[in-house]
Parts: sequence; structure tokens; C-alpha cells
Amino acid sequence: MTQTITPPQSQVPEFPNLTFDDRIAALRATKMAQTKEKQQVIGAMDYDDWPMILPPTERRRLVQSISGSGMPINDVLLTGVDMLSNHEDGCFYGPELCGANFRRLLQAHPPYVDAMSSLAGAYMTNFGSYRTSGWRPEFVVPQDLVQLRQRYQLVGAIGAGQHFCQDLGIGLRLGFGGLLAKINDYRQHNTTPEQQAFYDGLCHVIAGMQAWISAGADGAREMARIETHPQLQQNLTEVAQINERLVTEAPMTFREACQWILWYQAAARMYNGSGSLGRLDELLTPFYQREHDDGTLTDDEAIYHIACLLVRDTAYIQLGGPDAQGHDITNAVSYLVLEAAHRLKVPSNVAICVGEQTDPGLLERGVDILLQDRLGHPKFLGIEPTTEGFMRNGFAAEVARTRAYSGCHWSAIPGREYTLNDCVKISFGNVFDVALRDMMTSGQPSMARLWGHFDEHMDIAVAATARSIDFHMRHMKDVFPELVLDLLCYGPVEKGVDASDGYAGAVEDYNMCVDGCALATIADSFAAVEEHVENRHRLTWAQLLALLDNDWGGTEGERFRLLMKRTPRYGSGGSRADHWAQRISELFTRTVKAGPTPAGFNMIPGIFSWANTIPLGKALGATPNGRHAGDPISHGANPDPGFRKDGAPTAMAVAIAAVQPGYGNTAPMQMELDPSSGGDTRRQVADLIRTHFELGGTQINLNILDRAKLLEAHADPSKYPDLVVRVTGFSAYFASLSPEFRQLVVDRVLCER
Amino acid sequence: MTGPAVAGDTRGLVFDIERYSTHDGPGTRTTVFLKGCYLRCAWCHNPESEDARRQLMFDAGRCIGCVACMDACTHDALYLTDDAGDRLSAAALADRRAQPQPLTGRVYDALACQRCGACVEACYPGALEMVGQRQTVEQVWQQIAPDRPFYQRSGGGVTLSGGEPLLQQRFSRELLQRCRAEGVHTALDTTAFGRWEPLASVLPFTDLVLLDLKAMDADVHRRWTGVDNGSILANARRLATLLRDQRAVNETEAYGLWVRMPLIPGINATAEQVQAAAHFIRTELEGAVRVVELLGYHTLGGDKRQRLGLPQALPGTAPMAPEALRRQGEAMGQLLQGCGITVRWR
Ligand code: SF4
Ligand code: SF4
Repeated sequence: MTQTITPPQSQVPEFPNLTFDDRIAALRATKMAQTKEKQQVIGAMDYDDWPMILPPTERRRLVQSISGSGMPINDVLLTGVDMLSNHEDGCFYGPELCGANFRRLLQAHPPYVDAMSSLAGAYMTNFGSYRTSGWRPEFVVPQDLVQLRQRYQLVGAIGAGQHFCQDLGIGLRLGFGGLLAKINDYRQHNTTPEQQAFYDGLCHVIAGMQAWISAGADGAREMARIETHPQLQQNLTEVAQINERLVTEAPMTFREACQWILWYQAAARMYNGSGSLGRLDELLTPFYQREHDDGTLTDDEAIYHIACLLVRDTAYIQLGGPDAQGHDITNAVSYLVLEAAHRLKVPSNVAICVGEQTDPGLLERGVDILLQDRLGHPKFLGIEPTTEGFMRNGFAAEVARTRAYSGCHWSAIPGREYTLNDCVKISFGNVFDVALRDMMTSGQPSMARLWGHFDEHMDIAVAATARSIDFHMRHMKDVFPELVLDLLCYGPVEKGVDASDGYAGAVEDYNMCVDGCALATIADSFAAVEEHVENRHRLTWAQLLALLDNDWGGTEGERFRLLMKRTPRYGSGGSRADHWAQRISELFTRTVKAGPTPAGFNMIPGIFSWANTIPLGKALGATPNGRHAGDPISHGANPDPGFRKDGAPTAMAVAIAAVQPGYGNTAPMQMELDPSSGGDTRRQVADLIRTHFELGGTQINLNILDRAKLLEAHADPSKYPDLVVRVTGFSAYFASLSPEFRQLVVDRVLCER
Repeated sequence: MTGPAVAGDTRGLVFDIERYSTHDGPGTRTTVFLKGCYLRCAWCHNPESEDARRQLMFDAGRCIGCVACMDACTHDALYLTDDAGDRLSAAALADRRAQPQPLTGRVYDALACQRCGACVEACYPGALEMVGQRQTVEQVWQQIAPDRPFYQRSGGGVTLSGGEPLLQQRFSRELLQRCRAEGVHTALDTTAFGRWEPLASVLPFTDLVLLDLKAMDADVHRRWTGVDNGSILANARRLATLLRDQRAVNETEAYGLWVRMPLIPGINATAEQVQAAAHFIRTELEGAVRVVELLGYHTLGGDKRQRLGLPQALPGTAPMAPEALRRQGEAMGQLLQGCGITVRWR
């Protein structure tokens, strides 16, 4: 048996009778300690607060890697796992070996048991970081596509993983034994070598998970044997019993359901970073209802079990919202999940549906928690605009309503839709840059011609993105298939093909994400050029280009930079930049919706830059809005900080509502509010949320931040180790972010009123 | 009441339009600030509102010393002087143009200035600002309209503030009328100083009057605001008589009269002044007033004074301490008990 990892004893308080709240507090303290250790060992972590814990000291190896979302990261490998290779480049590809290697990792992975938690399990490394190559070399990207991707700095698609949502309901019904039986059943019928290799991969994953769960049960049993605190001993015995069962059986109780989800989620995270839970309230309701009616489960206990789940992952969760028939499903469990996040007070990604049909009490409670905890949670979903938007792709309302929030800014139909959400980005910045230069080398420059070139290059960039998506879907199954998510989808097991294989129609729907970025940067740039070059002739086109090439260098350059920067911005309301932002969004939407990819896959436009604001900024020269070369591009659909003197949230809400692409994918609003604004803040915030959605807004990420505290924390992050901010769609400990990323958050807050 | 349609081309001098304003009446509002005021309150946090003309505001912190403004001014209203106070020569100015340095010896001749805005236009970083834009009712409405859904949801609307909006009586009336016609709740923030007629003329289009009561003591009032409070108190009484009836018609606090009193340490933040105000409200305004707000002094106006080139009017006065404000607020609440008036402070 491998060594069981358990938090230091010092975390266990000595009082005889532990309440659920005592235990939640202990979980939080343990998480804080684990986070601090990660900050020391890994350094800055500019992503979601993945609750990965570090391997034991003697089994750690630091590596540079690429995250599941395609960002370069520092990561820690668990040593003592030998990965087999099936390629001369030393890496492993395809379902059979990806499955086999993942199984080796799971078998070598120490179980984690915390006596304070009702659930076992935590992960210590990212499987993806054992891969030495992100793409299989024989699948050569066509040279012209490589050049186009380079020219427009197109991000993602090829080689991207997860970013769609499984249906946990399948797993909760079948358990690992049932899943295995299902696979063995279908593999009798689907007998090509490719299908058999795929099934081999899936079976490896299940075998690995069963070993891992079994080790968890053994660990808990052993800990129970030596535990002296009666309550904890009892808890550990139960953990052992539950997990002994869950190796093969489907969960029976509320607690078992949470435990099953935790194992699956930890494996999915570890495999390729998947963090989608979807509609947790709906999934847990049957279990809750039964025990609640029997009187065997109190709400306090249910909250505690959910907290034990949430402390182990910042998974994306939707609460409330319509069922297929349009009836709001908000119920007691929705409130319990919200309450669990509230009591836990660590980063979480719980989102609340807001709509005319949705229980208003959920919004009220959510706003209360947002204001009280000041941890950027929960977040808010405009359920009607996204449902109606999705229908415009040709889906019935019954289908559209089942899309579940399951990632930073995105939703997907659990188990039925493959999306690459958040993994495909087109920066308007690079399209603009190419267009400007193109125009300057041909004929008389003008705004009309600049727009014409922008339109033309938008077309090329979108077409190249579409080809990238097709290329990805043609090959991904033989590179790094979705073995963990496949288990809980409708189609992959039944057909013997990986979900990423759109050509085989593995899942029911393929709605591919295409997000636009740098909206404010480029809307403001158009406005600045129009104002100062075309209308007022403060500088010529040639001068402008020279200044951009020179990154606004010299006295003259800096003067003009300041001049361009003071042009009224997108978000100020009724300005030319507001007009350009709408025009850009419309053009982008029209271009993406002009047709499917060459292979026939639907694409859905959204506006969101996620953490790409920094790398995409680095890949972009100076822009006419006064931005320096290499500085971050604007954030998602947000106006740039300082867009209005009063920083009015209503102005922001109106502006962002007006640039929604409107096909079901989002253009979120990121907002920071100062709690000291006074008045009936609770009502103001709730009104703001409702009205933004009424205007067509799709999602809101809100921080209630105290300026002074944030500035102090920026200067010395160790001062407020527990300060949590919603960076973008995700939330994280402020102290875990790099100074560069912290600066982005600080800039936003300083410029709001 | 919906008045006749207004043409919308009447112009007013507006110095700011604040969206998501949550302090000037109920709900989420847009506050339109009009330039010009009868009073000269030493504590005014909008000193740029006082002068009824456009004004040049200079933010030294943003200035890069490029002298583009001086090159642009054809009225000799902006120039530089050397240490001896003599005007800088053309050659010296040319040096500055090439090698910008922090502006010292900047002279702004407000009398010579034609408020043409050429310098503002020329200034690269936006260190100069022309405070006060002539805008038509229609132009202002266009900036109010986008937030209509927010007003509706929150029970908010539009507030006309200043300065003293009644100094621009026609514009104020037409703007209020326009908002009313569009179904937007209207509030007027006024000192109520002067003749009754301007106030009376806008009342048909005003849902809520925010009356600023600066001090009950006539001497204190004269000393710190520059004017007598006689007409203010008289207008307040008349207003109360009219609005008492309205109260019966509309029960919510969003209609009728609110009294707002700034509390300035060392000037009117005393128990006597608060008592006197309470007494006046109780005996003379009862039945009309829905809300009394006490506004603690803060120092935000000081920075603007500097940018306008005005001397600091209350140097050394500290902001109102929250604890003291709370005590005064509670005292006011006690004194007005049973009058059906909500007392708030901030
Ligand atoms: S507003 Fe006109 S006259 Fe006045 S300082 Fe500026 S440029 Fe000169
Ligand atoms: S133009 Fe603006 S920045 Fe230049 S000297 Fe004048 S005020 Fe300063």
C-alpha cells in the first residue's frame, strides 16, 4: 500500500465535540497551509485556484508545462511514475497508451485522507505535464495555416483539451462497476482495432480509478485504527466503508454521491484540467430528497458534505435555472450549495441563474453572500439571453435550456455537446494591426478603407480558425483523447469513438467556440484614429504608423500617445468608440455565423479573453488607443479602466449589453464595486445584475473590493493570504497571482469610482 | 402629469452628468449638474458649479509642460513667466517646446480668456478641461435615456443639481418636462434661494424636491454662504404648503420633499443648529417632508478648488467624524419622532 497523505496533526483542534462548522474551519485552515506551500514551491499561479496539493517532498519534481487551457505554467510532477512512450519523440499518444499511462499514475498516486473531511481524495499533479509534446508530429499542420495562425496570432483550437461538460448523472447511476460493464458490453459490437484501442484506454482509466479509490479506503481504514478522537475515528471508518463500496458500486447516499463526484472530478482535473460540474443542485437532489424525507440527513450535514467537495475543487457549478420544459429547478439543494461555499470561504466558482422565471430568493441570498464575504462569489448568469441566443443556432428551447454553466465564461449541454469553449481566441488587435499595415501599402488611407481591410482580415482570421478547429477534430483522438470525460458522455462509449472526433459524430452536437478579444483596445483605437487623424488632422496616417512602429518613443511619441489616449472611450456612452465597439462585435458575429467550418461544424461567437489578456498583449505591437507594445489587451468585453470619470456601473452594463454576439456564448461583464458606496448596496447590486441581463447581458463576474486593502495586499501579498478575487471567470487567492496579474486587478479597481 | 412636447433645443450650461448616482434621491439615478449658483458655500464639494460661466480647469498633475496650450491661445490669456515675473521670450518658449519641463511661472489671465477652448483642444494629455458645456435638452436627454431600465428597476430617475438649477430656469423646466414625458422620475436639488416664481415654474414637472438647508442661524448662513436665508425659509414654507397635498396622493417617499443639511464641523455641526433645523421642519414643514438627510463634510472639493485656481475656503477643517455624524443623526431622529419622517445620514 502506498503512503496515505494527510494534513499535519497540528490542524486538528482538541475539543471533544466537533461541530460541522469546526470541521469546515479546519478544512479551510488546511487549505490555507497547502496554498502557502504551493506558493512557495510553484511560485505565481495565474489561473484558477486548482486545489491540487503538493506531492510528498521526496516525490516532487518541478517542470515547465502547458496547462489544460493552453497557458505555460510551472507544475510539479509526482515522481516514481514511469510513463511508457509509443513514439520516437519520447511522448505517448492515442487512447491505449494515454489510458495505460494515466492508470500507472493513478496506481502510483498516494491517496489523500483528511480526518476532518467526510470525503477522501485529492490530486497532486497534472497528467498533461508528463506529456513532453502537445501535438503528435506526424499530424503536420498545413504550412499556409501555420503562417495564418502566426500572422493573426490565433490562439488555441489545435491540441486543446476538455472545455465541455460531462453528465455526472451517468456516473452517479452506474458507478465504476456499471461503467465498466457498459464498456464491455459495447466493445462486443464495435470491433475495429481503433475502437478496441479506445475501449482499452477507457478500461485503463477505470482500473486506475478503482485502484486509487481502493487505496483511499485502505488509507482511511488504517487511520481509523490509530485515531483516538472518537468522532474522527467514526468518520474515518465511514470514509473507508463508503470507498470500499464505491470502487465498484454506484453511490446510494448523499454523502456517497459527493464522494463519487469528488473522485471523478479529481481524476478529470488531473487528466487534463477539466473543472466542470454543471448543475450540481439537480444532480444531488434525488439523494438529498430521499434522506431529507427519511430524516437521516440534516441540512447542516448536507452543507458540510458539499463543503468537503468544494474545498477539493473550484469546479464550475450552476445553481437554479430552467429544466427542459422551462420550469425553474431552484430547490433546497441550490441554497445548500450556496451556503457551503459561503461557510467555506475559499475560492469557488458557484454561479447563480438570474431570470424572470428563476427564484428571486437565490439572487438575494447570492448578493448577500457576495457583499458579506467579499470573495467574488457567487457569480451570475443571464439565463434567458443565453438560452434564447443558443436557440438562434437552430436548437429547440427544450435543448437550449439544458445547457449548463460549467467553465470560466461558458456553458455546454452535459454529456451531449463538444465545444472547445474558451480555447479558441481571435484577437481583434492583430486583425487590426494587419489591416492597418495592409491599407498603408496600397492607395490613399482613410477610415473607410481601414474598416474595409479590417473586415477582410477578420474574414481570413475566422476562416483560418475554422480550419484549425477541423484539423484539431480530425486528429485529437489519436493525440490525447478525452478518456475521462468520454466515460460520462452520450455517444463515445456507445460508438467507440472519442468525443473530440466530430467527424465520427461521437457526441450529439458540435458547437465550436470562437471568442473575440481586445474589443475595447480596438474600438478605442478606431475612435482615436478617426478623431485625431481623420477628423482633426493632428497627425497623418504615415506619422501614426511610424509612432506605432516606434512604440510611441521620444517626446513627440509620448505626446501623441497621450493625445490618442484621451479620446472618449468605449463605455463612456454614446461615444464614437461605443459605436465602433458595436460595429466590431457585429462584424465579428456576422463573420463567424456566415457558415460552419469547412467540415461543417457550427461555430458560436463570444467575447472573452480569459487570462489571455497578458500573452495576447505581448504578441501585439503598440495600438492607436495609446497602448504600448506588449501591454495587456483589454479584458473580455469590458471597457478599459478609466472609461468614464464616474466609472458608472450602469454605463458599463449598458455598453457590454450592446456588444453581445447573441448566439448563446457569453460576453461577460467584469465589475469591481467598492463596498463603501453606501445606500442600500444590496438592492443596488441586485438591480444592476437584473437590469444588465434584461438588456441582453449574459454573465457577470463581480468583486466587492476594498481599495485600501487591495493596495496593501498588492504591495505585500503575504499580509492578506486569504484575500480571494474573481480575476476573470475564475477566482483565486490574490497572493497566488503574479505581480503582473495582480496589477491588472488593481488597475481595474483603482479606475472604478 | 405629462406636459406638452418640448422642442429640445433650449441650451443649458452643464458641467457634469453622473450616471449610477445613488445619493441624490431614491434608486439608481443620473444626476445632471448645472453651472451657476447664488450661494458661495465655503464647504462646497462642487466649486466648479459656482461660476455661471464656462471655466478653465488646470490639472498640474497631468501637465507635461509641452506649452501647446500657449501656442494655441490667440488671446494672450496663457503664458509663462521667468523667476523675475517677466514674460518668457519666444526663444525660451521654443526651448520648452523641444525640451518639455514641468511648468513653472504659468500665468492664466482669466479676464483675457475668451473661453474659446483652443488650449483644451491642443493639450495632449488632457490637463486642461473646459468646465461647462452648452448642451441642448435633447443632447442631455440622450445621455439620460440609456439608463432608463435601471431607473425603472430601482425606482430611480433623474436629478437636476448644481449649482442652482433654477438659475437656468427654462432649461431646467424643459429638461424635467422631457424626462416626465418619457416616464422618468424627476428630482430637483435646490437651495430654494431667491424668488418663488422660478421654483414654482418647475414644480409641475418635479416629483421630488431635495431642499438644501445650510443653516438656520441667519448670521451663520450669511457668513458661510454669502447670502441671507430669509427667502430660502420662506420658499420652503410655501413649498411645504403645496406638497402637503401631494403627500396624500402619493404615499411613497419618492414624491414630495426631502430636506438635506450639510454638517460642517466648526460651522453648523452643533446641537443648537440641528435642533433649530428640526424645530423648523417640525413646525413649518411637517406633513410635506418625507426624508431628512444629514451630509457629513468631506474634503473632496479642495482638490477641485486647486485646479480652478481658487484659494482653499476651509483650510484645516477635518472631515466630519462618522461617530459625531451618527450622534447628530440620532438626535435629529429623536427630535422628529412621530412626524413620519425618515432621518438618514452619510
Ligand atoms: S480658452 Fe481660449 S482664450 Fe482662454 S486660455 Fe484657452 S485658448 Fe486662451
Ligand atoms: S498643453 Fe497641456 S500639457 Fe502642455 S503645457 Fe499646456 S496644460 Fe500642460
